[in-house]
Amino acid sequence: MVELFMSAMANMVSLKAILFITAGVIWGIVGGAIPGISASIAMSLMLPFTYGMDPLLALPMLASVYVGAEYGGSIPAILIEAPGTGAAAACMSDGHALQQRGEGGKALFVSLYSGVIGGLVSVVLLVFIAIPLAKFAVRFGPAEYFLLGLCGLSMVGTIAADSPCKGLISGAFGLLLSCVGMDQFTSVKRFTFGIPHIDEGLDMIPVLVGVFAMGSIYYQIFTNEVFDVKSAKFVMSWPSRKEMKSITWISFIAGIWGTFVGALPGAGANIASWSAYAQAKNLCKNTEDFGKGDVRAIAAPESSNNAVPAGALIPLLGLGIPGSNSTAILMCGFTIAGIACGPLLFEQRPEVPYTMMAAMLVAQIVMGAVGMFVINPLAKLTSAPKHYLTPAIIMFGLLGSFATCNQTYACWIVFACGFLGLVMKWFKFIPSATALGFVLGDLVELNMRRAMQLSSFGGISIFFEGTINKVLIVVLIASIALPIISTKRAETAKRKEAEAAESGN
Amino acid sequence: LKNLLNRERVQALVTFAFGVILWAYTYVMPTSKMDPVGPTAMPRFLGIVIALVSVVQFLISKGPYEAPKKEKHFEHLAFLVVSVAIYLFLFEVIGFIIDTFVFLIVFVLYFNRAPFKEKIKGAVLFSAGFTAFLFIAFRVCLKILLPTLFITI
Repeated sequence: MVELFMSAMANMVSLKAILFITAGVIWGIVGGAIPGISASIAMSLMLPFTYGMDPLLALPMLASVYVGAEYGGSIPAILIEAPGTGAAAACMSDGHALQQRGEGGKALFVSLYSGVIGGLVSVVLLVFIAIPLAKFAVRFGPAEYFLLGLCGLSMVGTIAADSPCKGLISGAFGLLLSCVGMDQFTSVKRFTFGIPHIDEGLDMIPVLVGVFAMGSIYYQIFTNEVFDVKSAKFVMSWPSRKEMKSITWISFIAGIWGTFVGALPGAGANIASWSAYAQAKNLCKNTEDFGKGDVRAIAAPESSNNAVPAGALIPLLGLGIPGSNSTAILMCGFTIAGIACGPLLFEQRPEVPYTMMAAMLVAQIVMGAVGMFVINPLAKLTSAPKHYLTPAIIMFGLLGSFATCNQTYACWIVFACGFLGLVMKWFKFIPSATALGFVLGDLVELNMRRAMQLSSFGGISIFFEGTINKVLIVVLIASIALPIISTKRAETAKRKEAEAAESGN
Repeated sequence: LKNLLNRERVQALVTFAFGVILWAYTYVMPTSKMDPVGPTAMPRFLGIVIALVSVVQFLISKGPYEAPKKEKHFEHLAFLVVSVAIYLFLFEVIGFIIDTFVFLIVFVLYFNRAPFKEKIKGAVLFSAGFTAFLFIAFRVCLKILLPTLFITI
């Protein structure tokens, strides 16, 4: 294990690898820093460029985009009070309070410093958890994988959505999209409606670019967000020695927390950063300045948030199941490179998972090195007029998708999937669950049918056999039922409060 | 009726209908005797899941219709959709360079609220510069065969 990791590290510290990782980190920071462009959008826009690249450079570059974007989101949150990513909102009140006091530079430094610590902690945990998990997952058969895929999908859908039912429907719709085209077992055409281009199925890149990037742009224009521009200027300042001491240990603990939250399917950076903020407030002394510019309130969510990418790699590498939309896109990168994620990866191509771990480590160090240098240009970029940024993103999305097959048909898929993303956002469905369902579709269907073929000609009894299956069924039912019950309770409580307020009036 | 059919319940009815239609469609879909499970198993399973979840959604939704709070700009969306559609239709007809330049200039002019005389210069400079950047990035560096009409590189 140590030898393989050191060998992967040696490859990742070569000049070529560092250049690709740096490009990924910078692109991620830029993507994260532009409000409206999340980590998953930045990664989906980068995905077409990985075609034909060496997988041991392309995959680290994609992972670096994820790392960079989680940090980048905090820059506009601190400078212009507009979080670049949802997770960055947790540090916004304290970061922007410091910015208003002329200490924006200090807030940005704390965000970067704690982010790097959280990221490094998470990589160490990734190495020690993913490998035993993969060894355990080798026991899994098709039935277990089918149930595991459903568990991941249901957790993402139900946790991410305001309405868990909508999250589930979004995920199921994604699985349905993956059925379009020729069936891989029997070559029967499904849902092609006579359109020859889609006989081979919908390409991943146009669908993901459409649902994420184009859908977001349609939505921003539809809701008039395209015209909101704020300017950002900051003065560099540094935290005191006492502040550094206090944020260092908070960053370590929040990094561990963020790794575990990141490893849970569906939880993601938002939950990691907000829960870390809440815990820091509970555990720290003298928290009266939380929300008014306390550096500890920036360090905790930022460290936790930056630990999520490595944490999210644990189920991806160990089980082959992406737990978030960003790791779903990373899984697409694996598919494009012709590599199947999962526990067998450690046996068949061990250089790949170890390279990913080494790349995450190098990406954190690169982010620490370049993070402060890119703040000034990014401050200008975040306040650039959206009527320039928006068409630039549209062109990247369209041409990036065109590049995958040299056919305008791919651009039309982006165009159509953009509508799908818009409609889903408008009606509060979850595009990320659809994207995850689409990415997981092959795995889920393949294993469902294999399991049913093994189970006396099409029966479903195989899904209820064995301890692992039974545990997974309990997890599946709990992941669906608990969010529905808690949402229902919250709605009832809100309704009662409203009724009480009305009767009081 | 307004309380019975709130926004969430109407959506649940639509998705329920979609699930039922999907489930029914799997019985007329082409299938294969080679595979005892068949290519219809997954879509049928999904049809059932969507319909059942929609029923739950219908049952747990309560309360009057609540309109979404964000303001809607159909005219901006329509402009974007039509301009992207025209861009894609003309992509292989007039070539990437002219098509992209025109699309960018039209987009910037439409969405920039400054007076025409002020915004035209920025729009032309941005459109020309960004078209050149895309051409170099995709055609020259990545060797993507963009339709370029009469320009051959």
